[in-house]
Amino acid sequence: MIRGKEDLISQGILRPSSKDWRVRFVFLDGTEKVVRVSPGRIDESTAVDRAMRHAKIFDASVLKETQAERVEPTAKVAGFGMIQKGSTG
Amino acid sequence: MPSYAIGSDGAVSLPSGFNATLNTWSATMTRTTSVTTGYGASVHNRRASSVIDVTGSAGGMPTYWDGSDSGTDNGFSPIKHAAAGTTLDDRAGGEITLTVATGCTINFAAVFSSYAFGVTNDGDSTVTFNFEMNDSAGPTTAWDESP
Repeated sequence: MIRGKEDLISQGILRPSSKDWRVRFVFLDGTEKVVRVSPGRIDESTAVDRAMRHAKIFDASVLKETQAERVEPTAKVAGFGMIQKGSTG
Repeated sequence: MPSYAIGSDGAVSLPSGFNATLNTWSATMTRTTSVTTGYGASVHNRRASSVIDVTGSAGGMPTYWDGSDSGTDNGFSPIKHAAAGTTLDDRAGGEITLTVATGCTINFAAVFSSYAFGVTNDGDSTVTFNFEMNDSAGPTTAWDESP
């Protein structure tokens, strides 16, 4: 019986990837909602649009903050600000 | 171990202007395949295109505006149409969200290719929206990572 994302992932309907987008919404009351959008080939604005539709957010004025980032950064940055050699993301 | 893909937490969201009480949806993802077998071969070989298409339908009970209270014809009727008359006004389609399970959706933009209505003698009335993907970004899946 389908119960949620774990079952859908096991059946191949959802296919998580390190390139996916993780979109974080912060509402005016401070509550947060995090939505993952796949596949990662879409651009950031499309990912945010799809996440808003998924979360049934049709009016952006209810949001205080929106952040979108890759599930795993595509380049690892060293503490002193240089991109590490051989980083493949 | 295998699990059964059953449940009652599906849903579908159509673009604005399309209204019905929906209770079923289906979607098929397809891609073209080409036979690459040459003369002399005794079996078929095929290659599949990387171009993905999605077609499907959503069905349920049509609704309409009874004219009372606040509201509009387009706000309640099943098909988006011109304010006056019966001219369809939906060539560009819109975004469709198919809920597979709670917190897990498939999203894409689509055009509507047909609307199938049916009425039986015992009063059952149905509508089926048939759609085809119209989306340069392709279908995406989204799921909750927080409540």
